[in-house]
Amino acid sequence: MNRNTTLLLAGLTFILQFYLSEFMTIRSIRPDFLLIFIVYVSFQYGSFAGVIAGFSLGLLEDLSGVGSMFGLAPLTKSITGFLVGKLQGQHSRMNPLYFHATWIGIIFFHFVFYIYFRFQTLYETSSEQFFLTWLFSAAYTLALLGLMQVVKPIGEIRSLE
Amino acid sequence: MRRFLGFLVERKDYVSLILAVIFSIALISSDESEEIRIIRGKTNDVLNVVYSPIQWVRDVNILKRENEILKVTAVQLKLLNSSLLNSKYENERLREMLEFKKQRPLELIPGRVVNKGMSAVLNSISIDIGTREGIEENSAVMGIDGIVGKTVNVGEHSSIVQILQDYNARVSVKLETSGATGILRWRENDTFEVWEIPKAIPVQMRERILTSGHSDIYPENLLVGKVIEVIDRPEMLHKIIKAEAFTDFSSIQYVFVVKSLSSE
Repeated sequence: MNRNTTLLLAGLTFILQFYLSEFMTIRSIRPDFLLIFIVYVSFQYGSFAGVIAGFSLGLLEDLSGVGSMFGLAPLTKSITGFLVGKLQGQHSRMNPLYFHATWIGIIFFHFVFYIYFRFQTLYETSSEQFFLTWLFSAAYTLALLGLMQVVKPIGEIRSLE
Repeated sequence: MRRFLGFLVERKDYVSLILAVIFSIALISSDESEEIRIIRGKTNDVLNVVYSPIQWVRDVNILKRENEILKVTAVQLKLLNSSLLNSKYENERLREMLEFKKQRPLELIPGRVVNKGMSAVLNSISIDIGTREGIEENSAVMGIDGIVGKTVNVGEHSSIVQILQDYNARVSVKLETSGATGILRWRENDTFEVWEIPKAIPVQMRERILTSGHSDIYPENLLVGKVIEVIDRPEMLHKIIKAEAFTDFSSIQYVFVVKSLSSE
C-alpha cells in the first residue's frame, strides 16, 4: 500500500464516518472508523504517521461538528496513533497474546481518556454510568475492528517504515 | 545546530506527538476564539454541502412516514385548536382585566438538520441556517416537541447546535406546578437529571418541566420534558429529578431557532 493509496483510504474513511456514523448510532454512541484507520496506519507506517493521521483526522472530526471541547479528538487520536505506532513490527517479536492485549489496551485507553474529558464530571457523579459509556463506546469500535481482521489481520500488516 | 536538527529528525515521532499535543491543548483552550469560530463555521458550510446527497436520500425515506404522522397530527391539532381558541379568548379577557402586559411571541426561524457530527458520542447537530437567516450564537433551538439545545457556532449558511445530550449542556428549568427551579443536564439515553430542587417541594410523576427563563439563552416556558423519577434520600440536601425529554434526539429532522433574546 503506497502513500497515495493511504491518502485515498483516509478520504474514504472520512466519508464513511461522515455518512454512516449517524445510521449506526446506538444509545448516542457511534463507531469510530477514523480510529480504526489510524490504528492500521500506525501499524504500517509507525508512530510519526500515526500522530499525523491522528491529529489531522481528529481535527476534521471536530471541525465536522462538536458541541464542546473542540480539539479533544486530535489530542486523543494523535496520542493513540503514537502509542499504536510503537507496536509497529513487534508482532513477530512479542508474545502474540501480549501484542494483541497491548493494542486493545491502547484503544481502551483512548476511550477512557476521550469519555473522561467529553463527559466532564460524569466519573465523579456516576462512576457506573461512566464505565458503561466507556466500555460500550470502546467495545463498539473494537467490534468493527474485529470484523476488519477478516479483511486485513493486524498481525499481517507489513511495516513500511 | 546540525546535530540538533539531526536529533529532531531522528526523534520525529516524539517531536510530532509533542507538537500535536500542544496544538490540541491550544485548540481546546481557544475554543471560544473568533478565529476558531470562523474556521468551524466555514468548514461546516462546506461539509453540509458534502452531506446533501445523504440528506436527500434520507428525506425521501422519511417523507411517507412523516406524511402519515402529519395527517394524524393535523387532526389532533384541529381539535386542540378549537379548544385553545376558546381558552385564548377567555385568557385575553382575563389578561385585560388584570392589565397584564401582552407578551411578545417568540420569533422562530425554521431550519433543517443536515448532519449529526462525526464524533464517537452524539452531542451536536448541524442545521442549514446561519448568519444569512439572522441566526446568532447562543440562540435557543427548539423542536416541535420541546427544546433541542443552543447554537454554539454559526456560519453563513449553517450552524452547529449543542444538543441537550451533550454532557456539558446545562439548562435552567422549572417544574410546571410548583415553579421550583433547578439545573437540567443529560444523564443517559433519553433521560436527564434536574438538580437543586428543594426537598420541601412536592413533585408529581409526569409533571412537565419547562425552561425557567433565568437565562439569556432560553426564553421562559419552553417545553423540556416530564418527570419520571424522584430521588430523595435523607443524606441529600436537595432532590434530584429524573426526567425524560420531549424531544427525540435520534430522529430529529427539523428545528426552530429562537431569535436571540439579547437582539430583541
